[in-house]
Amino acid sequence: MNQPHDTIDSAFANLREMPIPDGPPPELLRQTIAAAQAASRPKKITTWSNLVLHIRKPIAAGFALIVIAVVALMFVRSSPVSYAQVVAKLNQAHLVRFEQVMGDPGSQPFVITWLDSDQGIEFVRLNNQRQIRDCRNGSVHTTTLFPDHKTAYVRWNDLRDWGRSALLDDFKAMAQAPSKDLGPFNLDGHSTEEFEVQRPGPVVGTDSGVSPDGHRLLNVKMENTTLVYHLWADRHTGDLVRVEKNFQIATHSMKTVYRNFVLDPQTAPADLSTDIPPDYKQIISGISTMAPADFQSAVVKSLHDYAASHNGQYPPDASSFPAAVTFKGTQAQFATFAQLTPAQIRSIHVPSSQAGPPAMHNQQLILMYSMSFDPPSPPTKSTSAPSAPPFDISFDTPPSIAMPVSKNVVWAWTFYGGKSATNHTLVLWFKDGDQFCCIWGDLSVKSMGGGIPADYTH
Amino acid sequence: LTDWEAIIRANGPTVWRTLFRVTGSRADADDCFQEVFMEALRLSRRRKIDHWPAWLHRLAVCRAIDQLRRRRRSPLSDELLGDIPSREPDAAQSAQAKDSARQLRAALAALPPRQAQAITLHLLSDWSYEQIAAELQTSVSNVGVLIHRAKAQLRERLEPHHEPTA
Repeated sequence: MNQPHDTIDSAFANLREMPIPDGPPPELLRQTIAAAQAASRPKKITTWSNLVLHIRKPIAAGFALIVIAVVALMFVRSSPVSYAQVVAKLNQAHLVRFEQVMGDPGSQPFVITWLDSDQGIEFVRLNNQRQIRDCRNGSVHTTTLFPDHKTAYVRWNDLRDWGRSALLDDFKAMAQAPSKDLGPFNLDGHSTEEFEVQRPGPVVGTDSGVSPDGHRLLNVKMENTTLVYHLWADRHTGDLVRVEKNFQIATHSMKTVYRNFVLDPQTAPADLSTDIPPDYKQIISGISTMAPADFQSAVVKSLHDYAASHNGQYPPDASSFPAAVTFKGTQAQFATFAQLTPAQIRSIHVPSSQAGPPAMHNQQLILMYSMSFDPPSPPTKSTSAPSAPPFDISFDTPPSIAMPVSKNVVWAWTFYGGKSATNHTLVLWFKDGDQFCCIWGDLSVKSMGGGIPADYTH
Repeated sequence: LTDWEAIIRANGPTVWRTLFRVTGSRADADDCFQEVFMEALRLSRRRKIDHWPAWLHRLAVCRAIDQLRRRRRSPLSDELLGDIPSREPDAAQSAQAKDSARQLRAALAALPPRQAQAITLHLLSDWSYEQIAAELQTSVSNVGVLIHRAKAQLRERLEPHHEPTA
């Protein structure tokens, strides 16, 4: 039987016990000290007047000045831009358009038009499908329009600071901004790390090269735990030329290329529209760590969003609710309430000792979810896009709504499916403080000073 | 002003030994040695260094792992990782120990850099999770995650018959 810990520990112990020769060589030590001292010494600045005074003959001085001016001019002309200047140029652009190619170099590129970070909206186009990624307010609302199905798939997600983690914003930030506290979603202890690895890491090196068409390029390398980014920019103009993202975890690797950057391109108004055509069916799902202002508004919003994507129906019964959320990669994995008891459901609280924003403390989750949702056929089966991937969405993921609420709230689901909810149908009751409230099928909310009707207090 | 001569003289031997221990090569240790201190000089302009020995040790581990990764990417990686020159004073070591070191270095080179740094600082340098978290500027729990994942990947590489856990 294997003893895995012993193998690794003993391998390191073996490495630790291997004999080490004397070092460093004295010459290397001396050179290093000299290099460090030279690099840390303030640079001596020779003024023009000093230079001229040291040259006795006026003609020689004039000649020397001309030579210096020419050299200086050449230096200025050939002075390479820095990464910061590349970023500054991106920041000045109101719109950036670029192509994204994933996987096979021959695969069809996504064409992405990115509105600047003040607006933070991406417009993605692939064949006749459009996707709008609204990254304002720290969350992301992704609306994917499928004309062939007259369907808009709307997802909202604020598990990370998407506004600052979109590709261009990451480069603009030039740093690893901290992820949001995932609060109750950080159940497996890995979630933060899973998201963190998607960011470009710090700059670990720069060098230069020449593009096939003869342009001198600045190459900036950024590394994170599982990602290596290479960014190329024109050394003279600072124009972004190409970005490569190499993702590797275990034996799996994936390469994404961003190319053909155009700053402030001409665009038609329709290209920047965020409207969903009125005849489109909307499918809504979402997941949030944002604490709602109160339980009542959270529940009403959740029910509204759920019903909007289920032909006006509410979740059929409590057993179809998810109880826990974990993450594998960037995919949310849900377990159903059916696997847990009500006591366990209510025990999914944020520990008060957990570091993070105070707003994330003292919360529990309310999740609405349907396992019975019948998604439309994936657009990949459409004749209009036989080989193209349907962006990054999956119709296999059922719609879901998740929100954290105060753990002091007591609530119970009282509606069971098979009939339509009306203003006489009690869907859910809750007690927030001393007040009992009931939410009815028409989403009206009534305070119940006398308590919950006996029929519903089981 | 920072007294770089004093810092390099005081910490140079430890840094070099760390580089040698991780890379297993005198040439690599020499190559990386000056780079560690130049990187330290560059970074020290941006942040205050409270504990030079620990910080330089961490930089040395990072640089040595990066060197392993570079070797791995080179066309001769297998040969380089597997063929430590015999001029090193390890002639008396058993072939098994040398082979174990070679395999571990190759496995470390395949790890994501932060995982490799975390597990090396922990198991080779005996650093605590708290020390590693402070140097890597992350949380203690995240260090635990990094080391857990590093072990899982190392296990797959070092134990050919190991079945990964679900």
